[in-house]
Amino acid sequence: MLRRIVSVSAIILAFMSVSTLLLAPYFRAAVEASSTFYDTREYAGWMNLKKLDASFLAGNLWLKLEYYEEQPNMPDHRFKGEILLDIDRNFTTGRSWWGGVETEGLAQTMT
Amino acid sequence: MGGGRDRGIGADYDIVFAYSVAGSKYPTGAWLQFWNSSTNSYQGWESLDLAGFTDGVEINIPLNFIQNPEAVDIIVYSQCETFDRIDQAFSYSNNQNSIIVVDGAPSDWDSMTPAIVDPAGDVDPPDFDFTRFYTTNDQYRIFHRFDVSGILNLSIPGSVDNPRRAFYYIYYDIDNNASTGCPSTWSGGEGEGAEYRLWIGLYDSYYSMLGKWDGNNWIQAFDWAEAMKEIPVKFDAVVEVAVPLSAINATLGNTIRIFVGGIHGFSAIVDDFLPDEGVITLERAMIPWPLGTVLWMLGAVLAVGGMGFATLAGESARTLRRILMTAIIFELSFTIYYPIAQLPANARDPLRDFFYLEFATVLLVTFLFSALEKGLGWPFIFGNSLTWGLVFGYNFFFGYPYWLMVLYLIGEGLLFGFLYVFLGAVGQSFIGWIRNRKTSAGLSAAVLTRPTQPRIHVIQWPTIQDYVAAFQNVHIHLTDPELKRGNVEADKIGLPRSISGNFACVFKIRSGNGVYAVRCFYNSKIIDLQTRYKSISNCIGKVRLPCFVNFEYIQDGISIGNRKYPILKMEWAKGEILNKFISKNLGNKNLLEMVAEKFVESVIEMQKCGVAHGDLQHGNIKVSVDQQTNSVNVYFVDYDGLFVRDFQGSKSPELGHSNYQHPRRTENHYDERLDNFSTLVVYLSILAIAEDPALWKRYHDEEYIIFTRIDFENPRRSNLVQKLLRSSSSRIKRLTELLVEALNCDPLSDKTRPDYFMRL
Repeated sequence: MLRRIVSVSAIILAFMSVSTLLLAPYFRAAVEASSTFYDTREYAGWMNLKKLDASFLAGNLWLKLEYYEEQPNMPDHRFKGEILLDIDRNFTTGRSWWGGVETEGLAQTMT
Repeated sequence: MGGGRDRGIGADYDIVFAYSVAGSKYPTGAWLQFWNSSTNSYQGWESLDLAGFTDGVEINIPLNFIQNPEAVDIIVYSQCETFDRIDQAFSYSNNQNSIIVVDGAPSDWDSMTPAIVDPAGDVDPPDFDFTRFYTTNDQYRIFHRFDVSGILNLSIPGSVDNPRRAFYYIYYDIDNNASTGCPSTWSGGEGEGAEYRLWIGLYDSYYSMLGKWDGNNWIQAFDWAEAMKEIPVKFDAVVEVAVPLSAINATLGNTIRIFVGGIHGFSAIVDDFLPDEGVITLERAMIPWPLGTVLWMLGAVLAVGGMGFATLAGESARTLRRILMTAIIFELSFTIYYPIAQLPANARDPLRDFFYLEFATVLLVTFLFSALEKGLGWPFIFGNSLTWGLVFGYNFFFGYPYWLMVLYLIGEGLLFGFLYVFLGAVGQSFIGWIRNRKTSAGLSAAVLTRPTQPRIHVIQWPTIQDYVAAFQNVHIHLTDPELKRGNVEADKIGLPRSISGNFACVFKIRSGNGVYAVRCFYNSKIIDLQTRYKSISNCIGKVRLPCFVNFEYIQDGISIGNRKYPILKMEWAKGEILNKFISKNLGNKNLLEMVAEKFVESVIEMQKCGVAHGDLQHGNIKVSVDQQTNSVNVYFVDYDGLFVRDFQGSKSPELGHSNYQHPRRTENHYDERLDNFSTLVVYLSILAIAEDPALWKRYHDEEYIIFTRIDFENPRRSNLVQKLLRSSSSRIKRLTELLVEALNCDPLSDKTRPDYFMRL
């Protein structure tokens, strides 16, 4: 019985070892990378970016923006903005200039 | 890369977000666009999950939406926005002749009544909080004045990119006719009927722009420089602006309609970048082994391995299994909670919902197999595979390839299977090693004085064929001098005849005047024979019971291959095994009753000496008749399962023949009462056949006399039991009732003591 258990276990172990070696580059833990980036306080009031928490979390890019103060509980006050992602980290691909923010994406949030 | 607005980062994707705590006329949410290099513009408008809080926002971008990158550069551009909506229109007659200096000072407006009043304090910050709006005119110009709660401050230190801006819109319906000019369909009716629109921007400087409705859209009525020149704006304590009547084609004395407010009636925007310069780079890590992962792996190995061990250990480890079950539940709870704990407390993250779902599933599966008890391990493996399959199935929809998920699911199941089986076996071996070490080292007096615990060896025993081959040349293979000279009883083709059982086979040897049974072992898992038979030999030597034959344990009794193995040299018991004896004397009621009585007397004698056989069955009982004294002799053979008082407290090495044993007998039932039930079975069987020989023909088989385990497990459905309960013999009836009653009692119950039921 014990001999059989050990033989079966050895086969399974061998399979697991090989498959793990082959697949290891693809396996990722649930929280792969998590970083917090801080910003200085430049203004008075609630309109100041404080930090960005960014994580690769189980198949998602998870971003959390935090401000220095709470948004006033009043109608028509909004956190608003754009987050630019350069996924190939290559300056020469994608949009290489800045400007016209309000007339592009943000303008669409108005209509 | 520079800082500020002029920097370009090669952005491939753009996420637009907006969130309002108290609600807004404008949309809130997050949307993803991608950059199309060929058209040089953003395209797509994919909705993303956004969770907003009073002090921030949270956004999830599925990695397969953005090509599952290995690393990403990020720039955040934030525009906090506030609107003080006015949305009011009034009619104004150009018949004033005011003297207004556009200087940002309010003193020249003192005698006038505001056209619009808005409560103070409904907007934060106060410099964007509109309070009053005035309008007046002279011969050439129309003047407007905006009041706010605070003074607009454009020189806040540390600002990155045009830190503060305020926008004002005023619409002029010159002909006071809503059906001409800007239609009501434009921007929700804002400025309906207007022919001109004045836009004022307070920036690092200030400027204004006058638009004219061309039938489809607003076009610039003046060029930039001209507008700046012709429509002066000043702000200090208040904001003032002067618009030439000619610029809006208004005539002195006419009544016009003025609309203030609307979408950008009075707004403020503050820009902020993160980082202030350069970009944020976030790289994916390859299995960083955070604390939760390490603890999870460790816990899983211990819990699953322990569970495997406990299951392999059998009934005795029931308590351990329950403890481990608790550990596993804790393990799963903790490790599933851990990643949840990493998320912000108020985050509306889809992962959180999923983890809760998974947690509930695991708990359900765990409790299910815990309740079922039997087959404890495999549901656990299945449950884990299922839940982790769900985890990675979930991931599949957010970035991982399908084939990888399938492979991982299989791997997960195998991993748990491996842990369960292998670690369980390792655990058992380790416990065995500890036990052996204690026994051999004799570390404590307590250990020495305790009964010898059967020791488990992993020995490669010879097969029956090996023994048969060896017994063809006993003078070579056997070490005992008397046996070496003997002749082995042969079968029809001349080979040594062997009688085999579960653990051993027996050969018959005649040597000189003696006849011996040589017992050879071939089971791979067997008790410590030498110690065990030494205790048995000592005990039987002292009590000298006639039902036992003399025997000698020889440690290196036979050599096969390069190894030597133990044998048991026994005096050959005279007579025939019980089955054959009954078969030959079926009609002899008196003789059979004598055998039954002698059999029970022998058992009672054994019990008085603190001895139990452990496996009383037809093959281990031999009967002979002494014709001279007209008496019966009963002998018991096969002492592997024997109990003597030295073994008190240890476990039974075997459970006996199932057709003779109480169905609930376990290895823990092991003392001098061990034979109570089997004695009753044999005794009742012989008496019943003596009373009614037809039972033999109808119910007997080679493996039993008349009773089988099935009769014991369900006596109500047993034809034999029911038949005996209706027997004309009151003794057989009472004995059968006792048998049925005994089945509901403990296997060692005193109710079935032989000295008791013999008197029935």
